[in-house]
Amino acid sequence: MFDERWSDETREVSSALRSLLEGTCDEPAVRAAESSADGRSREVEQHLREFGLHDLPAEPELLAAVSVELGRSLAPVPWVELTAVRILLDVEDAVYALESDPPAGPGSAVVATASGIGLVANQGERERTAAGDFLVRVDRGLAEQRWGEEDAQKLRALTHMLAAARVSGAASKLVEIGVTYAKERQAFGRSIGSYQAVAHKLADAATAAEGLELIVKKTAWLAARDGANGVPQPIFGLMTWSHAVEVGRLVARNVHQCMAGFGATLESPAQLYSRRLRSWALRLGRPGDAHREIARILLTPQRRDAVEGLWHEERGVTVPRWARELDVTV
Amino acid sequence: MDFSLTDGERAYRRKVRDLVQEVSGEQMREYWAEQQAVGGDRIFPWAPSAHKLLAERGLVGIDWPAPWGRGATSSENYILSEELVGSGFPSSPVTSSHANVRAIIRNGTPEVVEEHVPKALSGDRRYADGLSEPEAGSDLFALRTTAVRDGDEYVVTGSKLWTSYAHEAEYVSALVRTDPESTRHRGLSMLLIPLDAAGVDIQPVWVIGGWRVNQCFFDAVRVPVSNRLGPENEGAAILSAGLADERSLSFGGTDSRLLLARLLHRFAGAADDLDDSDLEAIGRFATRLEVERMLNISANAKGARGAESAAAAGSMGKLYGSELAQEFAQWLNELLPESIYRTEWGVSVDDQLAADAEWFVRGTVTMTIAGGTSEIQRNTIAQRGLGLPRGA
Repeated sequence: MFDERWSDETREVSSALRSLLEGTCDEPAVRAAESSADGRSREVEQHLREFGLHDLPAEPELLAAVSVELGRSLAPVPWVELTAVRILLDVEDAVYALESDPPAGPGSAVVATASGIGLVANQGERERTAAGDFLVRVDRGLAEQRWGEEDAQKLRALTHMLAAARVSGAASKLVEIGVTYAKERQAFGRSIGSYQAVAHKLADAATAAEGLELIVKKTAWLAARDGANGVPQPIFGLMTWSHAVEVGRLVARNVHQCMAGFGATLESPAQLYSRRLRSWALRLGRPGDAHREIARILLTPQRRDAVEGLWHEERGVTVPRWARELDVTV
Repeated sequence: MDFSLTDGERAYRRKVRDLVQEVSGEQMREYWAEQQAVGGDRIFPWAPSAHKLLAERGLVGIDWPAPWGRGATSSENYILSEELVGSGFPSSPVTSSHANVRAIIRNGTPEVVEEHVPKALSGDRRYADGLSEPEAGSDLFALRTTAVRDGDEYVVTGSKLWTSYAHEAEYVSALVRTDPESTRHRGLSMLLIPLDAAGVDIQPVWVIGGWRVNQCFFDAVRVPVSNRLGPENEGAAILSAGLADERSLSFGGTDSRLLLARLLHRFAGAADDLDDSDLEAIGRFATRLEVERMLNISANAKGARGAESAAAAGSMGKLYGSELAQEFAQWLNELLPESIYRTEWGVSVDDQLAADAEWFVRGTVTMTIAGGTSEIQRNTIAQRGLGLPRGA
């Protein structure tokens, strides 16, 4: 029997984390971090450390669910960027920065080298982003290779899943914000949520957010199976991340449209979410690149046949006998 | 969180897959010829001999309660649909329209059950859905077909539209108004109307994909009261239960995955023959087709638990899958441009995939309409999922 819900244990942790964040990382706290000199919130960081967030076991489902909660509350902490590095490379206080500059705060960054990945000091010119945090222009040329391409691939896949989960949480929360507004806001004598033009945009946004959460869950579930060692398959990492980018943009666009002028004001919580969704989307490579790589995996028989759990398949991508007999090949 | 199959489900899937692997290219062409002969379609395919084969293998009515079926779980039912549709096996009535038989088992008198179910199991009796009418489509409860009680019979007058398979079926399961004073969902009953009864006229309606749906006219058709399913005027509840059974069926996603899988095999090892935009499209469709499947699995799981959110979840899967299938079909036709010439009912001697791409682009036109339009699905998501108020 299928069950799409997080496990009881994961739900317990998620629920406790959500309670903590609702009390400590509310909208004023997010705005305060945004206005600070480095975009961080030491208070939220401290609360999360005390919660044990930096010592969580390397269970994909648990990590994904935590990332969803951090996204819901827009927690101004680089937990997503730190976690895969801590788990896979066994390095503390270093952040993922393979495709874009690292967030400010942690002491070092993991960057790409000629044939692998290495560490570099997280120092350099800092620039504020649309997400309210700061990215550091590190000198990538100073990095010495410490790990190979296989480690890089694993690091990328786990970070893809966690980053997608963060987007999932933020997108779901933004849909809730839009729905609440559509129920309360009156126009032409009734709430705007009763108009199909508004309701249908929110329905599309909700469907997209739900689909994203489900593919994150599937990716985490596959990563927890025997032999996966807690790391998503590269193709699932690419799929979750590229889909998260699209969903984040769609949700931001639709909710803003439903909230009209109010949602665009700086007073509105909507823009806190939409700015981050759009900024985060730029940090792990372009979705088109991910899509092309997915295609290349699926079009290369050896790589395709190594894929586990895509669609309804156990392994690879199969076609029925009649199609093999009737279809031509190039 | 669990997306795995139990050992039993895995064994059951193997049974279905083994059956599908028996179907050669030549056999599939024979099935298509059968379908074409009965005015059937390729988008909701059905061939009488294929149905018989499924019946022989014990794959018809698996979710019907014993002694008729074996009370299969909703997961098993989902797997049956996915394996058959996903392999192109012509089995649409088995995977969808058998809701009519479920309704008979749940709501029919013992005599009606005994009369109908064994024939349905053996593949000798088929049913058409009689829901929509010319003036009642998305607004189903505006239906006007009446059934007036006259002793032990009802006298049915009106018409039903989009009655697929009616010209091949023995009965139509029709929602009719039995309380003339009622409005909307009240006062409706579900009747099994024999399609060979005096006063029944079945007229073909041909649609864009080249197949036949029908309009059934009822001119004072006399139907035994015993053919009513459930209590009089309670038909809406029977309909609702039937729709709930089907809410996790994929509308286009499973067919799209099969076509994309075939495309991947066609271009296996030849990624460099495709340009960047096509590679991007393949990766993007592969991803969204995974999402589509997960939306349906989620609806299936929620439905099995009786979760309140199941209705909205089902609508999400239907909305997402049917619109994605249309988009995918258009792109596939662009990639295989020769498919625009394959207009002869989707059969080709030199490029079957291109021919199938052509019928799919036409066939998917109906996917965002049949089974509840995309607009109705969005309303369901908005109102039942998000709690937004109904429109005036």
